[in-house]
Amino acid sequence: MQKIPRLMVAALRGGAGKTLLTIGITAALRRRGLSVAAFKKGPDYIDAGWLGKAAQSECYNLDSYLFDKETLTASFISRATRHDIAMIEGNRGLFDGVSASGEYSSAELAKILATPVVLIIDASKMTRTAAALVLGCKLLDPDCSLRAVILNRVAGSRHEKTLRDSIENYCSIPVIGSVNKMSMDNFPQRHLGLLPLFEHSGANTLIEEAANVAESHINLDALLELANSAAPLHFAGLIKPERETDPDHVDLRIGVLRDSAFQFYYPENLEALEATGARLQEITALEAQPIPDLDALYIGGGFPETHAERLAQNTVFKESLYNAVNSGLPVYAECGGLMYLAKELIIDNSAYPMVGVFDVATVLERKPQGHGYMTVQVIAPNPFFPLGTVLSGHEFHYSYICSETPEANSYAFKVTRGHGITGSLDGIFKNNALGTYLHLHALGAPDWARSILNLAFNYHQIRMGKKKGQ
Amino acid sequence: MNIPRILLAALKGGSGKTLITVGLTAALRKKGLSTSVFKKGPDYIDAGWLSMAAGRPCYNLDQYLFSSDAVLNSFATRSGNSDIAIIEGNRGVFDGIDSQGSSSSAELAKLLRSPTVIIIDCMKMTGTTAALIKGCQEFDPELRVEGIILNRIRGTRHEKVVRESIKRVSAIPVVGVVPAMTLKNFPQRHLGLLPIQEHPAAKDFVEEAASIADNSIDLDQILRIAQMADDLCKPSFNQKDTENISLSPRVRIGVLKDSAFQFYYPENIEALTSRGADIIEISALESRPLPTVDALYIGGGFPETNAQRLADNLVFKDSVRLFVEHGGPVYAECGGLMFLAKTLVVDNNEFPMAGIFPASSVLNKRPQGLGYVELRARASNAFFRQGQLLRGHEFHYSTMILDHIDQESWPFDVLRGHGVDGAHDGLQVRNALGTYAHVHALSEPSWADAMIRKAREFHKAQETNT
Repeated sequence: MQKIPRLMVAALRGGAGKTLLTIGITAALRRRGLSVAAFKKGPDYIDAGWLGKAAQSECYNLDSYLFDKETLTASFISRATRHDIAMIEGNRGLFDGVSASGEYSSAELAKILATPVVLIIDASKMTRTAAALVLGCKLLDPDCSLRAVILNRVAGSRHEKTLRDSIENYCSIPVIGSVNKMSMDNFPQRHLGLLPLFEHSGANTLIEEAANVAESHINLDALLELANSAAPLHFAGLIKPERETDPDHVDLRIGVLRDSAFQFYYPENLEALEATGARLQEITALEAQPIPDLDALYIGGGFPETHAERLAQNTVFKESLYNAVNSGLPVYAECGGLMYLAKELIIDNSAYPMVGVFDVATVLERKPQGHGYMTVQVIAPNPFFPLGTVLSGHEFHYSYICSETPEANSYAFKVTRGHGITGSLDGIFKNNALGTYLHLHALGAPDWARSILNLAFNYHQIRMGKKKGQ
Repeated sequence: MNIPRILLAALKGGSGKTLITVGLTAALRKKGLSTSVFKKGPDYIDAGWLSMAAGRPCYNLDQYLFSSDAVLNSFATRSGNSDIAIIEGNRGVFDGIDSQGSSSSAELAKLLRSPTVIIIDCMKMTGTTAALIKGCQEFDPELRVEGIILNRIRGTRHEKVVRESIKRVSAIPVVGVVPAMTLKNFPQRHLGLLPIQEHPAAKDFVEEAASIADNSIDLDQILRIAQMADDLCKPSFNQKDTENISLSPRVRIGVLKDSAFQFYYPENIEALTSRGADIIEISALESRPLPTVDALYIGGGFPETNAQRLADNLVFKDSVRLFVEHGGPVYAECGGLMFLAKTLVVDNNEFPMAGIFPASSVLNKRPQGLGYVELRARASNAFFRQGQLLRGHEFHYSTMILDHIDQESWPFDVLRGHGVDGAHDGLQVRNALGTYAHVHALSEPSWADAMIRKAREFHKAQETNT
């Protein structure tokens, strides 16, 4: 049994200001000298990036659709125990899941982890009706422990009083915070959520501002009391110890492309790659130098579109990567990484030459071309996954793939849920490089890291053999 | 009597209520149904759109401003000759003026024994909609929610999850599914929509809204729900409206109506005509003097968007000033008050106005007063007797900068709301009274009585002079 003070911050819908307030609360608690473990419900990278920055430690994802309950609980316990409090940010509406029964919703996650829920209410253009909405949340699932409300976008003290009185009277749920409409107006947003960290010059200032707002508008003592009231967490399973070092892996060097163009990496994925002894080496695609000697390369998602010109001009790096793939370097590329490995990236009718491993172009659109959970089945022999493997993850892309000779492409995956590259196929591969719109999470796909490491080991042997042979 | 009726409400403002209500009204009208329309609350702009959609005036129903009997009476008489009455709620369905929800849309629905259809903005939400519906049902079991319209639905999977989630907790039928869309000719300003008079393609928009409603709402089911209404309670008719004024002599009351001044409750105009006034509509934008009238009524509007034209119209402004100097009664609200001041300042540009009141109105970026007001008439008030309490509504982006403050001359004390300075409302010179408060004739029948009385006095004085 683990005593872990913990809270989930949830809302009635996306866009209610949940992330900003969670960032603010997290940073404000840290200012009090508390060590905060941050978690994000769902597969989101951007909110998690912000939360991690606010907590000054990694933010981990909790997703009961992608991981089984035991894995999820074990991850939560092992990553929260070292800290004073765990903050979990829900996603979308509290009861929004993949189906009508609310499976995989934030409420379900709160129940799995027996976590008290604080509900953020976007009170704009609403007064007493807020009480009806809170009441509905309280009654819809009494097992979900809805314990407090924070009002957001409140217009003034009269507005606040009406909201507070009605919610406390009709729902017997305390209102522990009330944030004014104007307090957080200058926070930028892009795509679904906040801007990714790297692109935001004032990231730290913004977090400090959010902390100021939380300190002055939210009763942090009440919040801590609520977190401390969480019952000890029962977990019958084994909290897995760190994996043991594999002698085959200690010499491996896995490159991770990480710069302002490529930034979407689950910390769990990176941990999985280095858990058995392999070393990670961060490299950038924006500097004019060839790639270093690597045994494998992992390219995550990001925003190649906002760096198209710089990526296109960096021929030194592109050519070295192209040659490395030709000589068998294993490359696993997701979303933005897939776009980078294509022949060209087309934005507003301008074509930017990319690495050219795959003989396709990616075209950026104004609207998402795929968004949500995605499941694939492996249908073609490929370097990474055995036939028949089923993989679940997440996709979110504004680009689509355009190919002059679609029949010449090799696809490893059949898409059984989601969109992928063609609507029915995904996982384009060539040599030991595979590009996909699917973002995999290591906790939901344990074979993923193993296969990259196996390929890296083989490539390492070949590389070393060549060196010896020279 | 039992007019089929529904009240459309939402969980908060900005959920698409007006678009859907306008569309539904126009679609029903196209089916050949005569549709009477009502707007809950003191709003002019939504009411204007509804009126255009229905092809007949839209009347306001407001339990804060009117007595329950006045609400019932107005609804009964004004819906009586229609096939169906559509009532548009405001804000969140349970939002009232206090934490008890007094004068909320839900209270109005219960008073009128009207079935309610809830519009849910489903944007970025799926299964949580079930919690919201459950909350509405449990919060006030007396409210008869008989239908749900889902708004801003993105695709069939979104619709399916939302429908099934609601079905798990409630038997209320989903009677409409409106897709998320962008409406190019549906601009918003201030609290709600642009006023019709300023809308370049108002009719096109109503048509567009009608086809959206026709495609996405089950109109037959709406009619069936409307027919589930219980018999309306009989109002007891003991209104304040009993000051038996004789209909003669008739008076001529001028009403400024153009793209600058447009906010008039139809009930106010009807209250004047029913007391023996002939209404003369006048434009402040045309270069001709005020016609012969016995009193002038200037409603609110947007003088700021017509500032230059108003400023340039010397002929008209001079004639209004002359009218006031001769003792002509003028009752001006909000935009009208601004017009009667010396100057109107917009973005540091000064526009000379009629120059009756020694004050400038300065337009701000944010509302300076918004909501219900309660006023008490002071001794100096030319229209209301001292101590009389009035309720009304204010919504203004301007502040008044007075040349000098004479504490004796304020026509009203402000008991609730902002008015001119937070404590007082109104400016008055001779028989011209301007105020930020909008008064509704059903709230304050003595307003129309006073208008008629002042007009007759002035008419008589003019006759004596000539």
